[in-house]
Amino acid sequence: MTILRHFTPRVTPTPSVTGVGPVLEVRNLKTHFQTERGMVHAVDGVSLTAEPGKVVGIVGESGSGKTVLARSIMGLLPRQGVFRSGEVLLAGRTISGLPESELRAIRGLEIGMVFQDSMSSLNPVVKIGRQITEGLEYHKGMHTAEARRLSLALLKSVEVPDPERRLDEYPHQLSGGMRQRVAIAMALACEPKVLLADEPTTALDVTVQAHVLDLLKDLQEDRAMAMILVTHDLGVVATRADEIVVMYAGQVVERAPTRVLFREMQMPYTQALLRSVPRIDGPRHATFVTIGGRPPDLTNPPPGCRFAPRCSRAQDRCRSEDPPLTAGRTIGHEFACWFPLGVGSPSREAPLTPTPTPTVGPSAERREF
Amino acid sequence: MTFSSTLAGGDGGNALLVLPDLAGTDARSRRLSVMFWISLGWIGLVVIVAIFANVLPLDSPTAIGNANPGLGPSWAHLLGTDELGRDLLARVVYGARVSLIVGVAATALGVAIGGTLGLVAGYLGGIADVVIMGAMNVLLAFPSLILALAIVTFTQPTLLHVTLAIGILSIAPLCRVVRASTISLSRREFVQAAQVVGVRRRRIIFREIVPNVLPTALAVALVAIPGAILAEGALSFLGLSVRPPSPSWGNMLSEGRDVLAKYPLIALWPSIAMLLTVLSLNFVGDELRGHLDVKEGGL
Amino acid sequence: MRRVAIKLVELVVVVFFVTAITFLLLNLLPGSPALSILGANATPHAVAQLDKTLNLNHPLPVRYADWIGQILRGNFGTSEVDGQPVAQAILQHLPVTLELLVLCQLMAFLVAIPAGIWAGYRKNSWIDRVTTGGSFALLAFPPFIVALLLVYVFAVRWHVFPATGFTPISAGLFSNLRTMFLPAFTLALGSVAIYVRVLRSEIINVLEENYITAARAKGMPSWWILLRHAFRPSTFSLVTVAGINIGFLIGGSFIVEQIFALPGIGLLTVDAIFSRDYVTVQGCILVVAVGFVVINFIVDLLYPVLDPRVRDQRIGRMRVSGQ
Repeated sequence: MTILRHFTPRVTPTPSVTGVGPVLEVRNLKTHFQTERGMVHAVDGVSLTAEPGKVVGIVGESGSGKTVLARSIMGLLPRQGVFRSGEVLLAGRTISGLPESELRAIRGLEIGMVFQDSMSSLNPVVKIGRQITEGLEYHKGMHTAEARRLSLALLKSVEVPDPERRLDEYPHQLSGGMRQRVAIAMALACEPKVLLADEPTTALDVTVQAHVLDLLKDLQEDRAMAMILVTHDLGVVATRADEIVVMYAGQVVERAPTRVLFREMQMPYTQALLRSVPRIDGPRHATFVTIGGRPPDLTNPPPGCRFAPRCSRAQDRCRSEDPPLTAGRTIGHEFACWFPLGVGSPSREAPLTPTPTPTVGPSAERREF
Repeated sequence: MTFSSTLAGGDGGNALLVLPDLAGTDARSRRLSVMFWISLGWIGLVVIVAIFANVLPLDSPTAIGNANPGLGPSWAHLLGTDELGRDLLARVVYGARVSLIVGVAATALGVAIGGTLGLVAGYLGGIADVVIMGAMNVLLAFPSLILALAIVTFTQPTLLHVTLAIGILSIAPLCRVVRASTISLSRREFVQAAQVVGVRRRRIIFREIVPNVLPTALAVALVAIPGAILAEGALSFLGLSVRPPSPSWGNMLSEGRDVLAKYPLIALWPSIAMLLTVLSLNFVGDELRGHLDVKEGGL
Repeated sequence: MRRVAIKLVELVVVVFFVTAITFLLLNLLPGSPALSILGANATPHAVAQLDKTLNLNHPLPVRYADWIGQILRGNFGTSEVDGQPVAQAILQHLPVTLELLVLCQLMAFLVAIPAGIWAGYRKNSWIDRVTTGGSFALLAFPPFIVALLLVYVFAVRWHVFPATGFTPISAGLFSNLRTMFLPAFTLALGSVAIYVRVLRSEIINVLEENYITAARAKGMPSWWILLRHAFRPSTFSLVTVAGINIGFLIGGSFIVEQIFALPGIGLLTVDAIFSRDYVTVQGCILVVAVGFVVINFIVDLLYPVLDPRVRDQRIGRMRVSGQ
């Protein structure tokens, strides 16, 4: 239905990206939710930048606030009970305070988003083709025929086989991997400058994950987009991100260019994350290293480092004073810790938290998430 | 959508059972609101007044000739008089009796029979389930009010028959609800635990399932009562319930209709009484159900 | 296709039982059916005659088969009260009820759909509270009270509509609609209340789905999201409820027909009941009950049209994830 054409919002053109300076800037963003139990500090003062052609990986456990962060950047928060502060700038223009009507013109067109579960992020009763063309018709004022041609090309570029047929099919008729590719095509349709990918492969088979991630990277490079890749899996970002931002309990606890991070990580939590990734070349029947304890309750958080309760290196100071982000040795490396790991590669130290002795035999393997 | 599998018997406000949709419970119904207590108060008032009608200082509802017809509200007659000079307040109060008796009794019948059938169908499953639900479906296919009408007419229009007829028609929806509840409970662990241990079926049903189904069933019954009251109202509007001069809200409405132009108040009072009562019952039942759902969710 | 076949079998089974019960109703009455038909004043001779004509001496299943055979041939019997063939009476009265229902549902949907969508979208706003509260209150209003109220206001006080009476379309569409308006409106109010509640709650559920957030993330405007993304999935429940409601209203409209003196099938049935015209009653109940079952069957058939996921059910719903 080409009716959407007539409603294309009038957009203040964002200055084209010249490769100088970040295309997306987040400054001290805070998102708090008012609940019956108190104020939940889901995102508590996060800052980051994304440059065109570069990938920023945001890593954290569930509950670290990374998904809320992605949604806050897009402004996709519920209407009531949300408290926001801080700024989000797109190519130098502040978008965080904009009214919904103006944000609409930016979403999809300037910033695209890919969600975690493609089965639930695609409308099950609307054809695939229409879900791609509607953005084109609305933002770019295209006729349906033109939009359809473009959708076909998009589906080809995300390597969906037999795209002609797929356009008229429904999401449930496609496999998970194909659906996610469609979701990517949808997000990229209007050629946004920034792509937010929120755990894009978590719901997929392991074998498919790599394909899709590589695809994402290729597309991103081709279009010189900035990409923010949100995941709980360090392995995903290790080879695909230019910069890694580690989040814990709504805050950034460490950030560095990828190589620097792996070489010189300072924050014990980052080390714990790395250690907890099982290695295929590790010794057999090794106990999985876990991070004991649970993510903190984000309601009215107490002062002090939020990781302190689970950190074996924690001292009194950690429990009473919030460690600020301080610069590390290399430029671009920041971390928040009173007693960082020190110079040098992550050594084979004693496990971070005393993992309780398994009571069921020596080679018991516990998995904890 | 699970609507049809749970409450499809829900005919609208036009008919036998007023069953507001289940999915309409918002999370806000944690605490019972002010309106809840007001509604409960009204229901209580109606019940008390109806029970103690004999001892209250009311005029006779049937005595003719004591006052002029069509009087408006006055100190002597708080609601005025009807076209035959009878005190309207007394008539409304005695009419309440009829509505309440039929409403509660018919629903009780429906709960007793429908509930039992639902328990059996839900717990045993298999053939029993197919047969019982099939029977319910067939029963539901019949136009409920017309069926009630037919039953009452072809037998005798007495209070008993009216109650029976309406009761029969409330069996099916109540059966469905109890069955759905039983099914979901049967799958829960504590029932399966009892089964594994070898507890006898009957004991399981009575000890484990019934206590947990009961709150839901009662909440739905509470909403079924106003439906029964409305059904009785419809039947007595058509002259099929208590015979004049005994008042019932329905036949008062019917009489009021005949003189609508001249004495509109005669139809007004029973309307208000019926509306308030039905509304209050609906409201109380709805809130209780929402309250229960929240508690169950917390399980 | 398989699905349709299964549903068809269900339909036949239910129809069978419905007809069987309807048939039995007449025969369950105390005394010989012939006696009931003719009334208590019948002479023994007349009763015996009727006995023979109706083959009342044959066993039940045979009589049932006979009766079904007659029905299928369009012969619903003849009313003993006025001598008219029942089929004819039904055919005369049914269209009136159907017209009433069509008008009623049109009105109901016209109001309920926008109201339900808006109330669900603007949950907890004042307009939502008013809509929800209003429809809740409406549910307490039985048609006879509503009818009286409307008649008082629009017919007695202000003479906009006639209080009773029916003008067939043949006598002029406008006057026909004038006589149909109040009754249709009366019935519509009850339907509106139900539909608004269902639609509102469905919209609220759907709006919390991820694909709505994804659509917002694409920058699509709210009106588009509501109409193209949220409304369609919400119709499934609405259609189910509407089917039940309409099926019920076929027979359930009789009170309104009575009050407004509309010669519909409800009125026919009620009059027949009052005049002990058992043959007519039987025919009417049969038509209404079967109609209810058929309507719900049609509604069932609608699901694959509305929900593409249901169409492919036989293949198995979702393919295994992976390339």
